[in-house]
This record gives sequence, C-alpha cells and structure tokens, in this order.
Amino acid sequence: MPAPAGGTRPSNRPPPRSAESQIRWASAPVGYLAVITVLLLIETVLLMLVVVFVVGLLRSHAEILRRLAAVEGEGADGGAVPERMVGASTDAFDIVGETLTGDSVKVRLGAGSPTTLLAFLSSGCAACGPLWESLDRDARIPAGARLVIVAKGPEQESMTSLRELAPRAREVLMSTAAWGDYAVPASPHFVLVDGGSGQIAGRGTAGSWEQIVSMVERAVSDTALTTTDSAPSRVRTTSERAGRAEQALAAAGIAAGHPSLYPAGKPPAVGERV
Amino acid sequence: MRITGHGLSIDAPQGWEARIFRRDGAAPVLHVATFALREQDGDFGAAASGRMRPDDAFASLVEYRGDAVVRAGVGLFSAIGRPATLRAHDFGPAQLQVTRAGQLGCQRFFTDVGRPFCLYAAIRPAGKGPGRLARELSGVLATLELSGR
Repeated sequence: MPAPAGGTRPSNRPPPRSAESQIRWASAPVGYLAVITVLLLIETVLLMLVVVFVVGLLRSHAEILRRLAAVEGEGADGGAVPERMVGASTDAFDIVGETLTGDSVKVRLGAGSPTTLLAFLSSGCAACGPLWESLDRDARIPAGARLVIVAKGPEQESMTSLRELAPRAREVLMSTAAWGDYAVPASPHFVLVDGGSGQIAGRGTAGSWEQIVSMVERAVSDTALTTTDSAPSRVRTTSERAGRAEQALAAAGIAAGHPSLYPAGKPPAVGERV
Repeated sequence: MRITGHGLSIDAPQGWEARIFRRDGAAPVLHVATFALREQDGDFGAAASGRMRPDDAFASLVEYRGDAVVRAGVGLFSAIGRPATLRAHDFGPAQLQVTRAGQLGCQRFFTDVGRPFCLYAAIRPAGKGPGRLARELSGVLATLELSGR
C-alpha cells in the first residue's frame, strides 16, 4: 500500500488480516469445542452404561448370597434354622418315581400308610452333602418313620453325581413331579407325613441329620398331643363310627359269623332277621 | 397312578403301592399291594406277606428267563394269555408260598406276549370277605400291560 501523504508512518501493529483468514481463525475454536463436546457426551453415555451394569451385578450377587444363606440353614437375616417343623395339615400325595437302577415305584402316602419322612435332596446342593453322608452311614430314622429319599428326575439331575452320593443301603426315587406336588422350595427339604391321617404333619429344612431327628421327633410328639384321649375326638358320622368298629373287630380276628357276635349261640340263617 | 418299567406296566389306584424291579441277571418282577412295599421283599413277597394286615391284598408277577427247562408256552407255562379274573374260590391256604394264619393264596402260570410268567396273589380277608378282596385285586391286575420281547 502506498505510504500516506505527509510522510506519517502507522504504529507497530500487525497488518490487518484478510477476511478469509479472519473467518478461518474464528471457526477453529468452534470446531474444536464441538469435537470435545461430542467426546464428552460419548464418555458420559458409556459411564452410565457401566454404572447400570455394576449395579445389576451387585444386585444379583446379593440375591445369590441371600439364597445361599437360606440353603445353608441361615435365614435371610442371618438367624438360625427354625427348630420346629412347620405344620401344614394338608393331604399328602402319592409319589411315582424311578430308582437309580431303572426300577419303577409308586409310594402310597394316604391314610393307613406308614408314617413317612420324605427327604428332598439333590446332587448339586452343597447343603445336602452332610445329609447324604449321614444317610450313607446308616443314620437313625426318627420316630420309626419310613424314609423316602426323593431327587428330581434324570432331566434335572446329574445321574453320575447322584449315583456317587446315593446311600448304598437306601433307595433313591427320582421324581420331579413330587417336588412340584409338595411345593419344595429348595433342597434340602423334609416333609413328614402322618400315616394314620395321610396328612402332612410338618415340613422344614435342616443342616444336619441330628437336627432333622430332633425336629421330626418333636413334630410327632406335637401330633400325638393333639390326639390324646383327653382331647375330644373329631365328631364322626354313624357310618364312620361303624366302620371304625368294624376295623377294630377285624384287627382282633372277629369277622362276620364269629360266634362271639351271637350270644344266642347261633348265627342267623340267610334271610333270617337278627 | 401308572408305573412302567422293564416291559411291564400297571395302574395302582389310591391306597395301593406298586414296584417293578429287576435284580441283577434276573427277569423283571412286579409287586402290587395295599400296604407298604420294600426293596428287600422277596420275588414272591415272602417278607411282604408277613406285613399284611387284615383286609390287605398282595400280588406278584414274576417273569421267568427261558432256558432248556423253562420255555414260553410249554409245560408249566402252556396256558396262553393272562389268568381270568380271580375269584374267592381261586384262593386257598394251601397255595400260600409262606403259610400264615388268616391268609389265602393263589398261583397261576401262563405265557403272554411270548413271555413266561407266574402270578402269585395273597389276601387276608377280615372285615372284607375273600370275594370282595379278590375282586379288588383283580381290578388292579386288569390294568396290567405287557410289552412283547
């Protein structure tokens, strides 16, 4: 640019930039900021995803610990296993299952069957280990009950593990349906069925066989106390009373036609009214 | 409730127990009873019959392995088809495997679906007469299903 007239020179300021260079310089910081912003947004989203994932992991871990504590004999609040079986007084169900050798069995559990202790055990349950071992050592069966060990069916059990754990002198029945019929929440689980009534006298879980023996004997004792002679028996219909009397006579070997039934000394002939 | 195993099947109603088993090297055996059965009961229920209460019933179906002496459809097993409905006169104290007071037994040999069997039944009539027990037992045995070899 020609020097201005009069010979006056300008100050030592940098020469003014062109419009193009001014635009380039103004847009550079804006682009840089946009990139930074996008990166921050992405990082924030990823961080939120990680937080959600970690929270989910912690919750599932807590649930696993809670269930493990319940299975190992501690309540959700870390308390001790209840010392009594919880009574249910509902009808028991017959059980159909298969043994480990492929035999087929139906176990009757209605009225008139033996008092039975159902032991729901599994091969994948850590808390069941001591119980399997106790049964293998010929543990005492409480209250003279019949013991029936019930595992789930082959479709839900490891047959190899089950064969290793099964007591040598006791039969194991596999029946997934029985677990459903008895609403077994988890293993180990025990159900005591009163033979006389065919009803569930109690149910519960325990960490040791000694605990089970104590619980069962207490449950049997409680059941006996509720049916003592001092307590009035359940009102029965005439036909039920007659049936009970007939059973008592039959048990004593007195059937129809027995001489003791006819004080007159001669049983009636056919068609003759007594 | 029906149980099935080793080519045998039976429907044991409420109040009945049933087992189908096979010992090592032996042919299948079926037990059905109105009382609790045990794994250690003998094939013909020698131990089981000792636990029979008044008005109990028991039946055992024992298959025989064929050999030079035992042949399906021949000799002792010449009767083809399972036995007809059991009745009171089919039972007697002399047919018991183990004689026990108050018990009556019945034994039938036959061949069905090419398999030789022995059916052994025992009843202990008391409040129920032998005819009624025989009918109830026959009703359960009528649900028997055999599969051919």
